[in-house]
Amino acid sequence: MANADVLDILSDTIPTTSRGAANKDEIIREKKKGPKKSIRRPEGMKREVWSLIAQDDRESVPIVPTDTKSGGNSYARWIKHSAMKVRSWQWTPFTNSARGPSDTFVLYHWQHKTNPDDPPQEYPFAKFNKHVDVPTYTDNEYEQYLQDKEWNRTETDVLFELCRKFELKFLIIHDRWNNILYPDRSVEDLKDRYYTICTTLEYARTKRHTDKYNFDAAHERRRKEQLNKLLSRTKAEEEEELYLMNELKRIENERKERERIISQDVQKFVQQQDQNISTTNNCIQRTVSSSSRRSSINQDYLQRLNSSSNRTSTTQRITTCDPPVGIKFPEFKRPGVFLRSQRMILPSSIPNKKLAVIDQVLKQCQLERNPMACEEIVDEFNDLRSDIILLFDLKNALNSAEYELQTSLHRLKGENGSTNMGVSSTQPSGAGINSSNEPSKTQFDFLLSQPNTPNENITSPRLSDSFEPTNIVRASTTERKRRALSSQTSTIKKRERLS
Amino acid sequence: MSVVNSESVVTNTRTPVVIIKPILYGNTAKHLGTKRDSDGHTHRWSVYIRSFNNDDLSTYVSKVQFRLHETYPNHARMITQAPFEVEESGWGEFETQITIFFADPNEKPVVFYHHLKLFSTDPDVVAGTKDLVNEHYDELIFQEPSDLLVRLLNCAKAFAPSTDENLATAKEYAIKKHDTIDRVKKARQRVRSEIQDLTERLRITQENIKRVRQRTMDNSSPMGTFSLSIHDNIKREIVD
Repeated sequence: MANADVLDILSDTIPTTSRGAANKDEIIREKKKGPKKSIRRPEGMKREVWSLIAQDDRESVPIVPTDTKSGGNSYARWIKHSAMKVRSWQWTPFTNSARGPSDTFVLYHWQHKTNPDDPPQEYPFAKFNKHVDVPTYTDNEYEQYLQDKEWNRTETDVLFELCRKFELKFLIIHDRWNNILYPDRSVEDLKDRYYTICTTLEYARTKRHTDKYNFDAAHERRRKEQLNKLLSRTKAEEEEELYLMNELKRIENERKERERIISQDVQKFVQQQDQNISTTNNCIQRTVSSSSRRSSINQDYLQRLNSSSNRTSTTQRITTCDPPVGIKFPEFKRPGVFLRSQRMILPSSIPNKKLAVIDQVLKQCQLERNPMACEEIVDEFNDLRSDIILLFDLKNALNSAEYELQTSLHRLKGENGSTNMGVSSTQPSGAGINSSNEPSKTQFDFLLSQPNTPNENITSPRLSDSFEPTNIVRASTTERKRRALSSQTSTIKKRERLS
Repeated sequence: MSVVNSESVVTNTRTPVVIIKPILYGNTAKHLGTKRDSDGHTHRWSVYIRSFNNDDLSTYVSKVQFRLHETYPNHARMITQAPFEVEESGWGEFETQITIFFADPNEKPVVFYHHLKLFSTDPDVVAGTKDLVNEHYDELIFQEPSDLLVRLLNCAKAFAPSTDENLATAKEYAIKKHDTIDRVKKARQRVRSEIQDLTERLRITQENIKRVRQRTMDNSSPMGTFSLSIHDNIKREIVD
């Protein structure tokens, strides 16, 4: 090691404190470290070369990975092998059997020296010279099976001759096809003729249907046309297509988000509802609107909840206090002294938007942000804020769902419109021919024109209208778009009515 | 010595009760009339903490620390006896931190904040007839206090027979409490009914979506390649 050399040279001048240390601890430490597992320099290698490659500490990683199979000594093994002699090469002549039996063309190349008594090797690439079997037909066969109104005998013969010559490389065959003597044929035409002949011959000779020569000319033509179109798109068209793809992706993602929101919130509310039923019935009993409707909803949700998660619902019934949805307020279970108002602190996990919503609703209800901290007030107040958050989430979900409904309806309308153009009318009184389409269509029209579905009994201004919920889907422009969509459907309706 | 012994004996025995002590904390402020030239102070204020029921806090509270604004000399005021209040003068509002230390040194002190309010729009206060009072009601919850603390809490005796003023404030707070409870309950009702409503709408909308999707699938099955129509639909959606 270079380091060792330097130390050696300077050893006279360096104070040998570490060397001559009679310190008991140091000696013990040195002994404890033990013999380091360092790799020995292989014999053939020069000292400087080894110092470049070798590593003192096993921690540093080499830039180029080394072969550690033999513990770093593979170089030594190579050195050992390098003592062997090199194989000798010979400039030998050879012939290619693929060129044909009567070929005498001789070329030369380098080959390993072989023993003279071994038989001469076949040219290794000759085995790739594969030939295609092009069937031949007799005149009888032609007259019996292979007649075609568009192809006469000479043309067919020429085609087969070309196939044989060019090994079924149809592009070349098509290129060699004589347009002057014979009518112009496309590649598909030639292929079609060839493969139909092959299948018929096969069937005629063996009386068995095979799938060997399946060729669908029409499909091929369409495919090639599509590829051509693809190739010959202008830049503008390509960009438009990319744009459409991206839009599609985005719409799909948004739709997935909406689905997630909707299902999440419905679950949350279902849990909340269930818990609400079991623990406190005061609020529900006191509300004015039709109890029958609510009870039916409750039943419905109870059923759904019970079917999905039985155990969780029962445990929720047992625990009181915290609503499982909404906000989780800090609880004090450990011994100590606390202030009641500490239980009213909103956890920091709530995003600012929701905080603003809470404040807004509280202002509307003429409540201050931190009311006096009595026991009942704290509980009710916390529950109220939880409910506010739930309301907010529900509003979001509802908006997403409504937007989703609109887009689905439009998709439906688009497809219906394109397929059933002249068939059905949208008049509800109707001479509707497709009676099955009719009632559903009118039903959906009704839905389209009235985005807010059921009638509300509540006449007082709604709390939920006071805040603008966030939407994953194009937040600020949902209203505008909904109106635009509905106007568009009305124009479609008009068009269909006129037609 | 005996005190030390009793404390070391008592440290980890806790009674599983919850004792609640209502307190009032806040500040009063009075405008001085003129701006004092010497230091620009315009108001005389006092921040305090006292028991709601006119008990003597010092039975279970050892000391209260009021942290004022840093510009005040000795801004961490430690008050070790009743009445637990700090009287000062100033010119601006700031947030004070109040820390209550309890007679049981093993209990962690309770820390909370109070915004010192000096200015008001109330005409009476502006006129100078009424002092500005910015008070909050709160409750100290002693959860599983140690035996020592329990004894102290239970034998907290009143300062003096409650004065008329105290009765008036108590009544005020009772009214306010009742009022707040009412309003909160009403608000909850409103929110709940809206939640019901929205859920119903959501459910209906979801069903409609399902139905429409079903119909779309039925329609699309007889059709062949429909990439074109989908693109059209997308275009239409985007164009709006």
